[in-house]
Amino acid sequence: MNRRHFFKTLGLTSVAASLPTSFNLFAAPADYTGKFLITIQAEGGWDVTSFCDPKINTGDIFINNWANNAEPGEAGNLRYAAFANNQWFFDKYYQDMLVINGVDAQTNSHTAGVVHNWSGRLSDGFPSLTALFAAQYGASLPVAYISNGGYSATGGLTRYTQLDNIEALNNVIYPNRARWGDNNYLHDNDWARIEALKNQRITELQQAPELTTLQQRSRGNFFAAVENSSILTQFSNALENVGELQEPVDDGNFLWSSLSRQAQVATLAMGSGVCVSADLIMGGYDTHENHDTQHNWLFTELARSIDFLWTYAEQQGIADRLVVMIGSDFGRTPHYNDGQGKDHWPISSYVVMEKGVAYTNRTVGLTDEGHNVIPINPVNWQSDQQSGSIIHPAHVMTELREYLGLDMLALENNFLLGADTRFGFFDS
Amino acid sequence: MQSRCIACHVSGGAADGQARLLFVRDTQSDYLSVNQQRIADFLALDAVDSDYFLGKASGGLGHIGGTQLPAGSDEYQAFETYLGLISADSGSGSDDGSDNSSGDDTGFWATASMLPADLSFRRALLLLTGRIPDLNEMESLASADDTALRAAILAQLAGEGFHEFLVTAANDRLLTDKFFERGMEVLDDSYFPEIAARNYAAGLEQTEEAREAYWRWRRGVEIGILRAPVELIAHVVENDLPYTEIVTADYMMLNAFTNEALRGDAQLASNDAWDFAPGQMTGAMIHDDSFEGEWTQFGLNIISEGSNIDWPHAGILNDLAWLNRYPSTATNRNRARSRWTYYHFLDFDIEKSAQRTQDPDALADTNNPTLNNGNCTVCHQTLDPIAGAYQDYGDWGNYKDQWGGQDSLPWTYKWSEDEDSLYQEGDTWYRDMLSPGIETTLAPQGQDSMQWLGQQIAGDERFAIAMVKFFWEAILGAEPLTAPQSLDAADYSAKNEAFTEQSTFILSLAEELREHGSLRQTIADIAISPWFRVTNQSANADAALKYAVVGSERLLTPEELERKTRSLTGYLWNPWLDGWNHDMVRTEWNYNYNIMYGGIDSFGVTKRARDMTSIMAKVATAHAAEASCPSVLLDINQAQGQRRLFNGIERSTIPGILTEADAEVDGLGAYNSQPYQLNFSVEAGTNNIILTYTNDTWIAETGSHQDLIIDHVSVYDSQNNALLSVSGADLDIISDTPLDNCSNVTWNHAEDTSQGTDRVVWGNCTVTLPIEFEQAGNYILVMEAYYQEYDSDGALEEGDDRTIGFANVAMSVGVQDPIVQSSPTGDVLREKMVELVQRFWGQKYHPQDQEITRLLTLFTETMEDKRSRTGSNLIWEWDNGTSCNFDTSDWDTEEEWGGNIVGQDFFGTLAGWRAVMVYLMTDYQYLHD
Repeated sequence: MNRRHFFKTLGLTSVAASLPTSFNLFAAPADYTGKFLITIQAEGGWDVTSFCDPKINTGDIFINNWANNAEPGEAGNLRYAAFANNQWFFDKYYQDMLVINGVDAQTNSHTAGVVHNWSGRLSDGFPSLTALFAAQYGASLPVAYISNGGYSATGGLTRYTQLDNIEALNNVIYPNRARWGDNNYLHDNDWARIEALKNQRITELQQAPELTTLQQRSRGNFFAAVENSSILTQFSNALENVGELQEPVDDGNFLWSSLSRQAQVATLAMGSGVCVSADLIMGGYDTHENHDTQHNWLFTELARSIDFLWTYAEQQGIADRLVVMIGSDFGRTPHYNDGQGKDHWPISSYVVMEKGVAYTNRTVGLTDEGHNVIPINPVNWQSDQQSGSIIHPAHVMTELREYLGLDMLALENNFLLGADTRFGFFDS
Repeated sequence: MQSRCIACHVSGGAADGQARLLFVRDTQSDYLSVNQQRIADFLALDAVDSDYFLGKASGGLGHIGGTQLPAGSDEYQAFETYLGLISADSGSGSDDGSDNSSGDDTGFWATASMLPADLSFRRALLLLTGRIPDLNEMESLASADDTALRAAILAQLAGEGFHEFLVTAANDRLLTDKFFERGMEVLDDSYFPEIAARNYAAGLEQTEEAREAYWRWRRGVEIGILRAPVELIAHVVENDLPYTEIVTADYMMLNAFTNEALRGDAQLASNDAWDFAPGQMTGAMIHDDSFEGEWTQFGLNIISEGSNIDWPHAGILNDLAWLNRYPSTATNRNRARSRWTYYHFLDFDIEKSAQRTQDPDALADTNNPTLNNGNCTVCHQTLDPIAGAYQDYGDWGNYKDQWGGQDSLPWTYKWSEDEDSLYQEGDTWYRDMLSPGIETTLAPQGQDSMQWLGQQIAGDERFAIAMVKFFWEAILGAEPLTAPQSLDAADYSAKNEAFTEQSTFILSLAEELREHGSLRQTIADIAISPWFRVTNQSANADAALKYAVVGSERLLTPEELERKTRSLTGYLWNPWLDGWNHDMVRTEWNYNYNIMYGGIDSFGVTKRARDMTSIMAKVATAHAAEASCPSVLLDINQAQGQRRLFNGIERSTIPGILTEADAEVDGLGAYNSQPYQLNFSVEAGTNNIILTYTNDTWIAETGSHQDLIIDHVSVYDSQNNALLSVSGADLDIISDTPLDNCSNVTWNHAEDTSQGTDRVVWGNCTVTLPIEFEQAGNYILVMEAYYQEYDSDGALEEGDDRTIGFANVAMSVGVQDPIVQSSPTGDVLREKMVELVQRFWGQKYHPQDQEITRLLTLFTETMEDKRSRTGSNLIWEWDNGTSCNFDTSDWDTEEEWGGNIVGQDFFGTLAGWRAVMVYLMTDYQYLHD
């Protein structure tokens, strides 16, 4: 069916009128040549002093065991902790990394930290960056926004898809294909007849008057889901040819990660043209006990999975269009507790990765030796205790929105973050 | 204010240094006038008005103290009035003041319409019990008022379906099903001697069988423990026990395995791991001086048990799965447990009041800041006393789990490296934290603090509110509204109105709950409320109504959709028994597509997706495609009166039939050809003569099969004038239908002809002959026919024993256009489709509605197409590559494959119903309810 004709027959205006301005789930997709966005959410609060904002032990401050016998390393303009597999990771990717340190989450509550770091606002209700991105660039795509958990609020702008079982997914892409053998369940004539009659019904359902908000939302989602599902076959073909999927890994104890599989599926979906953004998650960072051992495994696996992501994206031909943002709920205390753990600390970092751009291989944001925020001059990024500014998630999110072309969408839908300072994170 | 705000908003209180408003205590003689002036001063500040004040008091606008005056409550309204007076006096604040009289249901819902009682009943039963009522049940409530509807719903809130709803809803909140897939640390052998003994005994045997038996038993224990909290909630609700037992029950729910492992005293009706009964446990032990054991290659060999504990049950609060789901650490010190206790049972989400200090000095404070630093105590003052009430439970939930069995305090606290521990012998809680209690009330010495806390919560008015909210999302598909957070937002007023309306309703339910004590009644009350039943709103609806995102047509969860399909059709999507999980029924919905369809795993994914996606649409379509054929076969092969779908319908029920009769053609061979007659009446116009061969049979055992041979077909009027006279050979010409896939022309051996005149029908075949009747009247259809039976030796002759005995022909007369023209069978089918639509979609249509016509069209065209395109007399078409995922073995006989029996579709009607099933089950109204 011609897409324009489809709009017309659906009488979409009756639904769209009371939905958010950009809730246009049927927007015609140009052949998409833009960027893809992936966030990696390290759940539980990561210790950036053992990663991208390295801290050594000075005087009375004992922050990290690793700093007893090692100095922070340097890769390009970046510094990293001599911990886990950081050296290998930073050496390989420093040219593609922007590190934003000293980001104040203003909370040490997990729930609020997650909301703040991934939406830019401390209280609920605003969409994640990935949701905004999907609404802007993937409105008509069947799995525009993949969520693996974590913060995936959409603000009513789009819908997210959870993909946990790829083998099972392939069984439903062609829903009339029998589970075993080459048969169909229904004869093609019958299937076509059903489809034709359903189209008539959809038209009538869309034209129904006096719908409640929930009905408008549910009907809009349903019809978009049905209409946009046709190109899922591309994704299915890619999945059928992928060979073995990445297996989840564990530390032999309680830590577990499927991050590389999530990366693989997201990248395949993007390469297949059905997806533009994805949230990947990796839990276990809430290390109130036995911090070093657990964070060592976590950062090693994080680095391995990010490396896999980029390698696989290269194979799928999308690496030069991919933006990856890595962050967490907040940071961890600049000291160990009695259980050799580290507790919650509001200061954290973001890492943004992209290939072939000018804003990478640099660090913005300062923290002192005790991992406290140092206000900076937003123009030259130098310390300015008197009149400098502190980086909050809202600042990073606002400029990322701008960089990714999402600012107007946010404006139209009253999702402005009210950032008072511009740091120019992504300026050339 | 004196009892609420002043608890924190005073000098030295939790809000001191955080808030702009501080009161004086009532120990000051003029405190009333001083405090009133402070309110007036506060209202005079920029951007502060009555709405701001009320927003804070009701938990909105980032109020760290959470909800103090629930929106809509009497206290809230009194405070609203008071603020209005103060504002008038001071000339400040909101000038639109008190137009927020939103407690009027009629006002808020005035522009909305509600589901009628019968459809509300249907929807309530679906969501709360997983059952779709039949039309009679619905019709009996067509004009019911709310009282009658409530009683009808309440009467249905029992049984397995309601139980499933309750445990699913409870797990959506408590998330203890996490332990289906994740390890349960609390089950440490050294704390449970019965488990240790069995493990050790199995190890000693050194046989695979013994180990397998042990692990299977242990899995039963794990199921018993992980399900205990949700089963407790179900037990309380189903038995109309006081809702307070959720936090005060002096028992836990045990299955046969935990009854053994935990040395419980439950009276169980079966050994099924999924059957639970209340009981008390005495099988947990502490590591005191009595305990002696050795770790061996076979596990822990307990030489002497430690003291066993009479577990001080306190409902959910010290349930093992609950404690393990929210574990603690040496530094967390039960605060997570406190946070979730507040969240689930005291209607306070402390994490939502979460903006924390960014003051470097405060952050660097190492002088026990959670007790001493105002930036921290603002939350910890609330959080920590309840954390202390959990003092007896270790990190994973074991009772007084430290060596000696005197406490659960970690050694890192008791004997810290810098030797400055505050610990003193006999302590059970940290001296550098607030004492066990709840907020400012201390737990009494000498009493179990957990049981005491349970009693405190049970007596707290917030508990009833929390319990109403506990089931809210499971019923309505949306979380309760929260107070809007920004006064500056353009939609603040509308959002606040919606929030206040809902809050008022929840408060009223909570108040009733406190009186009658029955959560079952509360659930029924929600189901008869506008929040459940709203189904339309006018174009000029109040802006606030827009934010009430509730009512009909919410996306069903995978569990709900599975139950709906099962209730309507009896079908489960590829079920199998999971032996490891004690024969839990696994299906595609709960195994492969749960997360993909928006479900949760209670661990990584803990919130349900509420919006349909393309992948979900594919899953639903695949489900319908696969379910359609088994659904039809399961039902049509049941006896009339015992069916879910097709009571009153036969395989031969095709639309447009005016008269019909079966002819059992039993004359063997051409010499025994006989006439079969059908008398009928028609109106003037074109009508169809329809002949369908309906018992084409093949018996593998004997090689028996038969053919129908039609000799001649005639139609006469009442004066015996022939309107039609056609030989069997010419039926294809007259019907304008090639009959090659089911018949061919043959000679009549009893007649001396030079060419074939008869038609031998060897496959599934229907012949339709359109006849023009110039006048209305009575007519006679005559078919002359015989049959030929065969066995493995060839054609039978007269005198041979027959196995099949006849060929059956359905002779009928019908209208030319069965969709447009009325007919008795068409009417029956339309009525059936009306019934199906009402049950599947919750929509009422007139039999002549275009939606019903659409369904009849789908049915009829599919039926006719099937008859013309295939030689298969079964619902599946081997020749066209279609199949049906249905196990027919239950119908196998010694002579015949069951598929030939259950799959019979001589008329094509089963193919038609199958298409109807797909249409119904992929529809928006099926997937949303």
